[in-house]
Amino acid sequence: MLSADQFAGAPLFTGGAFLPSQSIDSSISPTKSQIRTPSTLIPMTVKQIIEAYHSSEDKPTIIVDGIELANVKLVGLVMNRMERETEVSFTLDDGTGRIDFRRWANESSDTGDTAFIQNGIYVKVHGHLRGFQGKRHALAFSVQYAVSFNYLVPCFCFFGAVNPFLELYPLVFSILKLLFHG
Amino acid sequence: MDTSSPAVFVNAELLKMHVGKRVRTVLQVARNEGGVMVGQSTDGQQLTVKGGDPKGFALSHYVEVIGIADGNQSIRAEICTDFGERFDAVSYNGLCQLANGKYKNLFL
Repeated sequence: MLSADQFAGAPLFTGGAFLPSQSIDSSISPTKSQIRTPSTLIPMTVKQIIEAYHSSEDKPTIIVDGIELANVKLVGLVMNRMERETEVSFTLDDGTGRIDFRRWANESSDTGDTAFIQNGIYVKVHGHLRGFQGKRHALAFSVQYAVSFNYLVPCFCFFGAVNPFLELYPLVFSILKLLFHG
Repeated sequence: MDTSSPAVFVNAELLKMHVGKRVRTVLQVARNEGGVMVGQSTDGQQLTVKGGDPKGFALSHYVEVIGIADGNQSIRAEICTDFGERFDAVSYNGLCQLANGKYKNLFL
């Protein structure tokens, strides 16, 4: 069954987590109470993920702006789709790089959820970072078709910036207008 | 995972800085001329796209083009995606500015 993106002016992140404000001093090693759990879902670019991996010393999680992450949200074009008996794999190209995803399809309902994933379409993916024998990829636990392409712009604006005003889409739009139109 | 072939977010003005490189932009189709698409960029300039869908895209539709910038105002297309008639070109133009400026490190 197709999972349509319900974005239509509604808040982009309902139930997701926001990055902390810049009040956290990144020069101080974060204590256990300051580190968010790896289950936090953060929008990122592939470039950010790869750069964070290089400094993660082969751990399954990555650290971005002092936050330990294992779950990420990305938007991009589907490429190299392959279907196997129990999984669908594809490469997601978000313009900054490419990352391989796998989506398990163990039951017939799962198969229906992955049928729409075709080469050349834009999707929003929630995934869990994995690594095996030095090779990095991600498991997709949610793949949604990007119904409105207007969604893509604010999604890219949210990536990784530890800056409070970029976390709110209406404010992003207003500020962009102020910055570029006076 | 690899970042070997990023596609830079550009408008017409920023395209000039990335000639020869892989770029992505959105333009509004003005006309199709035998495999060549001419349109208006998000910053109001004319762009030419070669090698896209030979059938062309509907006039006034917004089309995302990913390809190689082969001139100050032209792109050799690899992938074209029809974004439809309703697209926020102002926000996209702002994104291009941010992706090449203050937040360049997140994209390139």
